[in-house]
Amino acid sequence: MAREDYEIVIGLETHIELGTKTKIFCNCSTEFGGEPNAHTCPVCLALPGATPVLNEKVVEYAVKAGLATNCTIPEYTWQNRKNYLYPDMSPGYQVSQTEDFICQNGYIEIDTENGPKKIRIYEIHIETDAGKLVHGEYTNSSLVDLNRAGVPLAEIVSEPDLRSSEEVEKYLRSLKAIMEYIGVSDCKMQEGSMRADINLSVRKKGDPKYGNRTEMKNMNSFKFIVKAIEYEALRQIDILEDGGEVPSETVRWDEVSQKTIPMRDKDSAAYRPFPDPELAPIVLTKEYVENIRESLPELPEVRKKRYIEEYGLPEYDSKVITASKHFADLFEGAAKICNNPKAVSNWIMTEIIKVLNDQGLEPADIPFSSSDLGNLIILIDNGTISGGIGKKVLAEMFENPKAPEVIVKEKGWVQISDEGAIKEVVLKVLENNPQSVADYKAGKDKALGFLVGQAMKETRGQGNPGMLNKMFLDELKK
Amino acid sequence: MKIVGLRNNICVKNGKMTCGSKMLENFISPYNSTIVERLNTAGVKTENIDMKEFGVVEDNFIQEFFAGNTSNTAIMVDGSGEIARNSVNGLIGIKPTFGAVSRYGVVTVAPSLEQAGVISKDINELKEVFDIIKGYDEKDSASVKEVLENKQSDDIKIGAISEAMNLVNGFTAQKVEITNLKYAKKVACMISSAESSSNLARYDGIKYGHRAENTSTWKEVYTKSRQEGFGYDVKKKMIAGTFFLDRDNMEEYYKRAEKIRTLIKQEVKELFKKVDVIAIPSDSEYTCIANLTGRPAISANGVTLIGNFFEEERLIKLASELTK
Ligand SMILES: [Zn+2]
Repeated sequence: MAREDYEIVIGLETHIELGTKTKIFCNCSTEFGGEPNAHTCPVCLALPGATPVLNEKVVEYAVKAGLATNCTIPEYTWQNRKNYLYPDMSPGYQVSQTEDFICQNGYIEIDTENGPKKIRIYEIHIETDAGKLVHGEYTNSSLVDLNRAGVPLAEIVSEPDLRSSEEVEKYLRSLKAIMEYIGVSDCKMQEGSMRADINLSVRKKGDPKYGNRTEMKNMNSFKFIVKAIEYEALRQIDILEDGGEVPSETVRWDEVSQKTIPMRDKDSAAYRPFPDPELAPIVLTKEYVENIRESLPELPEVRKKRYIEEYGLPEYDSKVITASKHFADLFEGAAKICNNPKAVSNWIMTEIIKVLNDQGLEPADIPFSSSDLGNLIILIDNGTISGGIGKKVLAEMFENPKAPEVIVKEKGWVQISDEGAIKEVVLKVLENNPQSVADYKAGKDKALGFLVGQAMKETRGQGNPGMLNKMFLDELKK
Repeated sequence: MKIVGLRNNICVKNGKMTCGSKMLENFISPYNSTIVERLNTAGVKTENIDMKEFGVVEDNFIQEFFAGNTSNTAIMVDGSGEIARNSVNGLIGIKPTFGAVSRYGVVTVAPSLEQAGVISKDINELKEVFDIIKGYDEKDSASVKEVLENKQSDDIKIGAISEAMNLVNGFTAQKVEITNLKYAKKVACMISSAESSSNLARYDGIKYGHRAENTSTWKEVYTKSRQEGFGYDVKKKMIAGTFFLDRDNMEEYYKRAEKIRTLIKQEVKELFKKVDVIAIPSDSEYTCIANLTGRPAISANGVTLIGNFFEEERLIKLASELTK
């Protein structure tokens, strides 16, 4: 049998860091970085007698995440201790949930070739992050940094509804967009604020039974995720084709060897989970949940439709722009200022995305405001600068963020629209390029473009292209 | 009152706090418990009272402290009626409602059962100290901002289990029965063991406390430090608790104990529709009812009166009549 005869079945456990200012059980900062153990206190250091108090924002963020992914929120839930010893886990247990989760039975939609597909979400729960061990600074020991200990995480557990690496990528991007929109997490994979465990199995197409699955832990890059899924699926198919059985185990993706490697992992029932006796149960009244539901901002899908209707964007543009809240906000703010939505979407989809890709930046890193972008487009639309100069202004806005009108003024990039000055340039170019003039007169229209280009060069890009064009035509007719 | 005794499992900033364990033999607390913060604000000093390891084994240090006559009052943690059992020789003790006195900075073995309370030679001083340390604390999740006052009539209806009927002579008392009472001690013991197995996990030799020498891996640091740092009774308790929480035993032991605890809570709640306090003998194994239900209890003259949530004041008034 061939690869095509198998179906890949994938379920994801996605961990996202909740963007609260303080940790889950104390007032320590959740800020990334900082001197080792700078963001600690008796509670997150697990000093004797230090009691935890649940940060209400963590509950609010989790409920927001649940509502935005169509989950049911129970009226009553609690947190369990999962007991295990490791030096980065200061109290000797992780506070998590193992039953009656805070968000249950939701779904999100992804686009596929066959139209939209629902990916069910089994549950979302809240839990604590661990600190980290720093190895090797001294020859014979490791050091413990508890800055991350007690940072709140949400784990989003999907049903095994995904069937390919493309679907996984779409699902993760969609989750990321939703979480960004509702402001509960920035989901930055590089910084580890979003990571996924991938449960993967294969089965012959049409087989109602799932195969044995492996779990790939802690994947934090879209590129690796796609590669790892491709590899792991083929590996499992090869085992089955050879008449073997896929062992149910935890594996890790090794980027160096481009392989998955088995690793040791504990069965979660071995954690002896029981309700944390230091924490009160979480009561979520209907009123509380409804208030949060009402406060939810517009989600990506809704915004996509609105941009099509309200701004007349093509569907594709609207999809690209609303896939990131930062793009969407940039678009809408700029479009309101310049009244030229299509121009704004073009600038975002071509020039801005190009700069981000070239510099390895995320939409969140755009250093200028939506009104700056709107004003840049106004400068082009009212003829103050040409589109070509506009690109230079944009590059400057990334480098050294200032208002575009200030940049244009400081750099002396104002477009030349003075008739006398334009005529002077046109005459000079005609005089220097007799061959092109002859070509044009012989019917080669392309020669006009060359002449305009020469005039732009002459004006260092500042000539008004419309006026130049017209002036050349007038002169050539003579 | 200038000085109160303070058990060595309540944090005093820069004070040595061993909890009577080798595990914390050199531990200096870098922070104050809320209790100590409030005593400081009120200008009350503290004097250390020793204890046996984490309070897992009971001791006579409280009695020795009072014999020493440096102070009339002490603050100690109660997980299964220790305050009741120490309220002898004219001492009066109160185990407050769960969360009525902040648990922040109070070292616990079984957090769902334990609560710091006051024991004193003098009932007025008992009230004075209780009033200083009680009240809402944002650092304790069991703490409550507002206490709904029940309507309190002056004539108090006393209920007593049969063993306590003769202890409330001179008062009209009706006999009450708690059918699950016979399981109370076992249930409390199972729950506290289970919680201890998790709650004492933080003592690992990594961050503070006793650390074994000559270790080569982190696992060795854990095992050797804990082996050397904990005494026999604490180890026994943690091992039993680990057993009760093990996935193969969880239903049979821990969950069953929690179910019986719920039944006891319900039964006691029902009784409180008929009576205002329930009397039990202070030297019986039933005192842990106050811990299992989280209710306040006052002990004097061999009798312990369990009251309604946050009705400590009423219990203190009643005790002053009882001790006249
Ligand atoms: Zn902290």
